[in-house]
Amino acid sequence: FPQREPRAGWRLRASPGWRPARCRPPRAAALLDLSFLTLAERRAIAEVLRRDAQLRRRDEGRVRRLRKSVSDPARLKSLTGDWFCDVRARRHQQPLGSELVRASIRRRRPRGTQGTGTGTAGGGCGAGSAQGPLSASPPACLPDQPCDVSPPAAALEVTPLSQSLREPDIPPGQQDIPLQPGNSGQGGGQCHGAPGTPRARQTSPSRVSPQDVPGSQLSASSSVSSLSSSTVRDTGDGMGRAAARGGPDAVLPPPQLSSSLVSLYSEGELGRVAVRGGVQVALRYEPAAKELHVHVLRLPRWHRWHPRAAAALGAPRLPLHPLLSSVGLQTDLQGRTLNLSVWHHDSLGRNLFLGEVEIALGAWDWANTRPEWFDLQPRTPVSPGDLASHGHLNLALKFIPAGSEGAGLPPTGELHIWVKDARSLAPLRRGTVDAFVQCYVLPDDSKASRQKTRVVKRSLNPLFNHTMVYDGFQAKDLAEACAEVTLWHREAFAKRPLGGIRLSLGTGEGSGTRGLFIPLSVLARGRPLRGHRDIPSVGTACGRVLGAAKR
Amino acid sequence: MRWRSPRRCPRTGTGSGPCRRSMASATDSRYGQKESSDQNFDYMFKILIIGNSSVGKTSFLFRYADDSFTPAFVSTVGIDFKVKTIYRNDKRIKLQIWDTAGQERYRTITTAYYRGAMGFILMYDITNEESFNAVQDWSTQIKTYSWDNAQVLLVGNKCDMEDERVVSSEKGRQLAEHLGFEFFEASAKDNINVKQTFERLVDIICEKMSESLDAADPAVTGAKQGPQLTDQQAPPHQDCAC
Repeated sequence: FPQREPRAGWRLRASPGWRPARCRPPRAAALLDLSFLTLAERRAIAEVLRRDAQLRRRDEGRVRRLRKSVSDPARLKSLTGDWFCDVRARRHQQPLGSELVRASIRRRRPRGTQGTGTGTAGGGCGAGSAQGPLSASPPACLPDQPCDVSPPAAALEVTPLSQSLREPDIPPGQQDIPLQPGNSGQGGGQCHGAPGTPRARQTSPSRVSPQDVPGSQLSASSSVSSLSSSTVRDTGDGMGRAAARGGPDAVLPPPQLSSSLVSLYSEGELGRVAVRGGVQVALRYEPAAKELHVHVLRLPRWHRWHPRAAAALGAPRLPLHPLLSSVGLQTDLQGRTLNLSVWHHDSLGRNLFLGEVEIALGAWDWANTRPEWFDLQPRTPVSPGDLASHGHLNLALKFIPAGSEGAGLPPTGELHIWVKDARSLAPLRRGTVDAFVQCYVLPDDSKASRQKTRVVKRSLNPLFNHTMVYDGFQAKDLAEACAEVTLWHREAFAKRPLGGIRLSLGTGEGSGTRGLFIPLSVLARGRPLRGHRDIPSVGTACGRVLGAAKR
Repeated sequence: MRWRSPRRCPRTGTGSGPCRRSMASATDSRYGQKESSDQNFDYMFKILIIGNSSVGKTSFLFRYADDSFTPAFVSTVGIDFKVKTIYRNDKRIKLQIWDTAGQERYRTITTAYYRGAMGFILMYDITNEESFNAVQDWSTQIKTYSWDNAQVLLVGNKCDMEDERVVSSEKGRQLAEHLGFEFFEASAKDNINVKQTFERLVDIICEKMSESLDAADPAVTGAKQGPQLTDQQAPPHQDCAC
């Protein structure tokens, strides 16, 4: 496709979400009470914080280059400033000033309409699902972009599993990405912490909440067990807090937010871990509320692994598509399959598949609400043929370096994103879709970076034929840029997500920015875009699926 | 699938928003066009200036970073910082100098910055006894919130206002000695000892850096690349020249 490849040898791949392990402030700091600040003061301080963040981002770039070029460890330590991190760490386990203040200022900000987040920034990773993100951003929204519409009954969203990593109000440094950017396989090395107390587990049921609109479909379910995570430093502490925070409601998304799970592979890792053990699950269906509650009670204690569970409602006998989530649930649970998968969430934010259980809900005895053990099964890779019925987004990207067209044109590098069309979209409700595509080039998540296509009404195969042009790029900027393309259904007063992808060179650099390249732990990483076979040169384009690509 | 003209918007029908939207401004701020030049330094040191309200912390910083002075008093909101790159001991050192609000009201914010600071300038006003009496408390704050080896310079500012002096140089020096700090009298207004203060602090931080590297790995002593400051002279004339 692109007449000019950006540069030979460039590869698009998913971005690991960790920052260089430098002065990373540990978690577990009490936030400051900054409620006394006036709005003007807050603004002034926010501006200072912004400048500081910018400075630090640049310094991180310098440090990255140093790490590549300087081999003498002592010299590296002094040049990078690590010497100070070391001596400081002997005394303090708290975040640096700006990060703490930033988190604290954000903390006081009024939150979204979906309830209030509780908990502190210092909550454990697992407990993270109890924190703000669930409420701060409607799950349907990509948390690292402004979400101006909050769909009251979002059909597709991220799962709480990933939300703990996506706390938008916690500065990046505080995200629980551990220091060791080690091999993923070793991620579990830190996990002697027991995966939580039973009580903590039981406070983390998940539920499938169909929309309360009669006749509407539940799209998918989600389930998360906030069992321990390898990334929590003080596992015990974190879990203790999770338990203390108490009732399921603190952990759950508000009921009107159905948590649909996008199922996921961490493809490269698939099969790396022998599947064994089982998972204890209790199912309960509440007809009145049209809710399916999936309580993940217990996961076996894997040596070295930190299990997490995720569930999705699949179409009958259809393997769950990694890209996608939601299957229109036209009838009820009859004929549906609950897919519950267990993952190890490693230190790099990657997921290692530990096994899965498929429960045919049609045959389920709903009188049985007791916990049952299920043996975990290996997963058979999904063949592309299975995905034929899923929606496709047809797009192409190219980068035009400055001056490459002669006569000094274009004056700056341009990134073109051609959104051609989408095909075979499945409607959120009966009927059709009024679809549009919007695009950001992250890390700029401001509205200035947002571009949209028009809305194509009542079509499951909308033709957009729209090219988004972003200029002002240098080739090196691309390393830190990430094109986020999302597909939405336009309603009268809201928009609802149909799916999306992120494409980046995937260096993970620039992740000092809030939310940027945070590993979406439940999402496929570094894999070609399935169902996007029309994309030319797809071999070079891999991406992570963001929300859900509609089948 | 074939690209259409790269220069024109091939969008058909009506759309929302302009087809082309410049990323230039965002690019500037995000990616920092000046990055390469900005990053042309060896070390980055973080310094914090603390002390009572209105002792002249902000003026001191402005004098050093911008070589400017304005007599008007504008209270700092919480925190602020300035950046200055200097050449010292054959190294380019970028200083991020944090200026804190002296007012009690912002104390929660300012103390959060102590732990990230490699060195401190603790300032009082030689015409303000109260600010001098508070030095002990500030020193305690540093010990509480900072790292173990925090380096502090005690600075008596406004030494141009000899007529209104209420804290003698001797008192200042004694207190500094008692607290284990080095001492300067300075004037942001008349640009006395401002540069010297910062440079001395930078030198001390360099020393501490070398020490910490030596302590961390004695084996590298021979190959150590950090600045060698052993032949550093004693601080020059530290008192106010006036």
